[in-house]
This record gives sequence, C-alpha cells and structure tokens, in this order.
Amino acid sequence: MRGAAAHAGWLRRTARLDRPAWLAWLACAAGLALLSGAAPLLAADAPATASGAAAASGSAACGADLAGARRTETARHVIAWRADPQKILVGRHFAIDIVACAKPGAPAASGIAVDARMPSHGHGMNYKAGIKPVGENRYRAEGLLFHMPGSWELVFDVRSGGDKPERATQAVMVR
Amino acid sequence: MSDASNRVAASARAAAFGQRLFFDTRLSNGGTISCASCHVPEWHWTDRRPTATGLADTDRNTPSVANARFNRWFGWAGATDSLWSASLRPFADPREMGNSERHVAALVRSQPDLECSYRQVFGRSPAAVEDDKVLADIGKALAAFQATLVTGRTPFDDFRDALARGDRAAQARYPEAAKRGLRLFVGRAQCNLCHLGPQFSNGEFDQVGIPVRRPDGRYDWGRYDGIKAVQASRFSLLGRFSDDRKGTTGESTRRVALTVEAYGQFKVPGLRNVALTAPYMHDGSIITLADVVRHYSTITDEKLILAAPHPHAEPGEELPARPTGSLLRTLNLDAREIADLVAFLHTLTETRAGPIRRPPTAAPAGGTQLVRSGAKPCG
Ligand code: HEC
Ligand code: HEC
Ligand SMILES: [Cu+2]
Repeated sequence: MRGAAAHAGWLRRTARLDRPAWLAWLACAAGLALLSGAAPLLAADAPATASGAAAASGSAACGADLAGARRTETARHVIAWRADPQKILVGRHFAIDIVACAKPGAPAASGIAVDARMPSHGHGMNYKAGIKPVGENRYRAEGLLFHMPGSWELVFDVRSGGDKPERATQAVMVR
Repeated sequence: MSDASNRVAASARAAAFGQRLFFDTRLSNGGTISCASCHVPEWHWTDRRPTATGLADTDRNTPSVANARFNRWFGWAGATDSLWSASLRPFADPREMGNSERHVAALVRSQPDLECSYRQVFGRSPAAVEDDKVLADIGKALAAFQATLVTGRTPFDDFRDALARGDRAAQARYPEAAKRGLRLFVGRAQCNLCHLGPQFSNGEFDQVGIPVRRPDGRYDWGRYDGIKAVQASRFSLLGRFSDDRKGTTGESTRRVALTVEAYGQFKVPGLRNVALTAPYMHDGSIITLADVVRHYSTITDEKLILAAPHPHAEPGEELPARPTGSLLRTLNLDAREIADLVAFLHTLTETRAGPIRRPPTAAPAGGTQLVRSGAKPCG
C-alpha cells in the first residue's frame, strides 16, 4: 500500500468545490491512520519532490535567478527549471520556466522540447507543451498537465545547432 | 465559478431562459424531443437506458448533466470543450434532435416567447444576428441553466470533513463497509489514480476494458475521434464564438495532443450520485455498480487488448505496446471487498436531492404541439 501522504492529497482534493477556501484542511493524523491502516504517517501532502540526475559541480549558477529551480543535465547542458505554479497539481495545467546553460566548451542551446511520461504506467501526457524562447537560453513551456498522481518523468530534449538533440530527464512525484 | 467563454454564464435571466429551452420540444426536428427527454430531471438527468434514444437510437449512454459545469471536456469522447458547445451537439445529431442551425435560429426569431427572451438575455434581436451566433447563444443560455445543477452534500463529504476536524463521533457515523471500501479505493484497487478531485475524476480519458466494437460491428474510437471533432469544431473555445477575450479557457484545446493512445479511450466519469445513474460506462453495457466493480476486479491484459485493438493505425504508424497492465490489473476482490467498494460508491450519493427542476410551463413529456413556454417573463 502506498504511503499515507498520497491519501492525504487525494482526500484533500475531494473537497466539494462550493466549500469556502478557508475550510481547506491539512490531513490529520487520526484520519490518515484510519485510511492507511498501520502505514506510518509520512509528511502530510508533501510538495512535489524531485530526484533527477545529480547536478554537475558549479551547475547551481545556471538559472540562479529562478528561485527554487531544480536542475538536471544532458552531456553538454545544464537545465534549470521551475514549474509555474511551483507546486504541480494533478489534473491542472502548468507551465515550466527553463534556463539551458551550456557547460564549458559546449555550444549554446538552440532549442528545447519538453515532454513528460509516467514510466511505471507506460503512458505520456494528453497534451503537447508549447515552447517559446523568452530570452537568451531561456524558454517557457506551456500547457503541460499531469493527469494522474504518482511518478512522472519530465523529458528535456536540447538541441544545439544541427546536432542530434541531447536528453535530460527529471523525476517528479505528483500527489 | 464563472465561465469566461460564456458571457451569460452567471446570469439568472439566462439560466431561466435556458431552463425553459431545456424542456422545449420545439427545438427538435418534428417537435417531439427536448433535452429533458434524455436528461430526465426525475432520473438525475439521465434516461435509465443503456444507450440514448432520440429521433433514433444512438450508441452512447446518456450522462447526467448535474455537475457537468465542472468538466474540462464534455461527452464521453470530449468532442466538445465547453458546457455551451456540448449543449449544441444534440441539435446536429440526426439521431438526437436532428435540427439544423438555420432551423433553430429561425425558430428563435419566429416564436414570440423565444424571440422576446433572447432579446432580454442577449440585449439584441435574434433577427440582427447570424444563424450560427444565435445557435451559440442558445447553447450559452442552456449552459447557464445547467451550471445551476450541482449535486448536494454526501455522507462521504461529512466523513471527510469529520476526518479533517478530527471529529471521531462524526467519523463513526460513516458505515464501516464504506470505510473499508474507501480504503480499497485509494489503496489496493488504485481507483484514485483516475477518480480523483471533487468530482472523483481527473477530467481526462482512459481505456478500462470496455470494448470499442459496437453491436452493429462498427467501432467507437472514443477520444481519438473526440479530439479530431473538437479540433475541427467552429464552436470550440478557440473559435470566434467564445467570449473569452484572453483565451485562457482555450488552453486545453490548444494543447491537446492527438496520439494513438487516445484510441478507445473514454472520459473518466465523475462518481458523485453514481448510484443513481445506472446503467454504466460509455455504452451502458454494465448494469449495476457491483458489476462495474467485478469488471475491474477481473480485468486482464488480454481483456484490455481485446477491448481496444488498434486496427486503426495509419500505415507506418507505430503501435505502442499497451502497457496498461501496470495500471489496471486483476484485483481478484472477494465478495466482501466488492460489497465494500459498492458501499463506498453509495456514500457518494447526495443526502438531500435538489428540487426537481421543471419549468412551470414546460411541455408535457412527448408532447408534440407548440408550447408557449416562457411567455411569462416576456409578457
Ligand atoms: C437523445 C438523447 C439526448 C438528448 C435529446 C440530449 N442529450 Fe445531452 N447527452 C446525450 C448523450 C448520449 C451524451 C453523451 C454524448 C457523447 O458522448 O458524445 C450527452 C451529453 C451531454 C452533455 C455532456 C455531459 C458531460 O458531463 O460530459 C451535456 C452538457 C448535454 N448532453 C446537454 C444536453 C442539452 C443541453 C440537450 C438539449 C439541447 C441535450 N443534452 C439533449 C443524450 C442526449
Ligand atoms: C485508468 C483509470 C481508471 C481507474 C484506475 C479506474 N477507473 Fe473507473 N472509469 C474510468 C473510465 C475511463 C471509465 C469510463 C469507461 C468507459 O465508459 O469506457 C470509468 C468508469 C467507471 C464507473 C462508471 C461510471 C458511470 O457513470 O458510468 C465507475 C462506477 C467506476 N469507473 C468506478 C471505478 C472503481 C471502483 C475503480 C477501482 C476499482 C475504478 N473505477 C478505477 C477510469 C478508471
Ligand atoms: Cu499513469
């Protein structure tokens, strides 16, 4: 059985839409224990967590102005990205702000594509993100939507010049 | 909640007009069918049939229109993307109401009560507006009415709030069987992967082993054709009939991807009041909730593949292996677990039903003569 935190998220989101916002609640220990049997109580409804390729040394400087950005990398680029809104909610469109930084000696990125999939379920998104460049090495991907809770994988394909795109991935847990 | 694509979405006057239209048989070809012929208020806005019958038999089950306002996509295939465009679909289907846009517009212009209500709601004479605009406006009035149809609080809502408050006495009032069913729903059975949020639906599409082959031997490709339809529609949120100047409501329509995964997928239905809306699934092929649960319990990869094969792929198009087995797998539920899940589903039924919403001067069911509905507000 999955952790109690997943159920906290599911339960919280079942709130009728006509309820005033102040009633939005934090999962309480008693309720979770009831639903999850003896499952240990995890952090209630933790924000989406990421585990991706370990950032290369010095990569933290990439997208330094993107507070709270996560980082992943291809062979020649570091990708700093942040979701907008920052907490990715299941079933809601979100955008991603991206900074693609060339590693020393590598050519600058000339374009990027963003997609996502659920590896354990073998399916992708039902939407295709639209990407637009928004400044030097910067992109904004819009229209993403994760339609299930669980482990998603963001896929960044970075092009530089006419070279074959290089791929970076990033695991994202959505509750 | 308003709908930026519909300038009269929150107008009480539009809702009253929409309510009269919903029950008005004049809107169908021949004057025999209204929206309420299939979305019957006394039957929770469904028709108790496996598949709908209007002017002729159709091949899809009639969904309730209660809570429809919360959808992102409408109809089993999401062939429409707004409540107002979903409300226009039955006119165009010759098996449902079979009425052309020219005919609907002419009717609104020629019937004094409709003409008068239209003018009051939209601030202009229907004579001064093109046919397709009149039609879109009729959809918007119908949507304003349907937006008022929201299901009431359920025992599950009470339990959930009791959990939030830590109120053990109130929690204890929730049936034990339902608690066990809920635990299965979010646990081993993983129903919560798709049935989530306030409506118990992620608003998207999936294939859960209901065959796409119809009794007549043809195929219902569900979402695949739904995406194509919405992309081709003049009445989509990307078209000129949307009142949303900023275009934000069109985000899903703009970004939706036509992929082979969409073949044979159908909308994940919401589950509020589900105990009241049998039969189930897009083709109405499952009669009881217990049988729905049994269906999920005995699902296999083989059944999933047989239900939605891919003979449809274009030459050279890659057929992805259907990996659904990792998502839906044989649950082998025992009799008590099936009963528990059903008990849980029953707690999603509203405790107090809303009023039956027939307008005061509605046409008698099946009536054929012209009815001067709605004369009052315009009198
Ligand atoms: C012949 C029966 C019939 C009639 C008449 C009918 N409907 Fe429906 N309705 C259906 C069926 C069947 C569907 C599902 C269609 C699909 O999957 O594409 C549906 C779907 C809908 C939906 C989408 C609901 C959802 O949750 O996705 C709305 C809204 C709706 N109808 C409104 C109306 C309105 C308004 C009228 C009158 C103008 C109307 N219907 C007339 C049978 C009918
Ligand atoms: C992979 C996503 C998914 C999962 C997991 C899932 N469902 Fe569904 N559910 C759907 C879809 C899609 C349909 C409509 C299928 C169709 O009509 O072809 C549906 C239909 C239903 C219906 C019929 C509702 C109606 O109005 O017709 C019920 C009840 C239901 N599911 C309950 C459950 C239960 C209980 C579970 C867990 C055992 C479950 N679902 C797991 C996607 C899912
Ligand atoms: Cu998934």
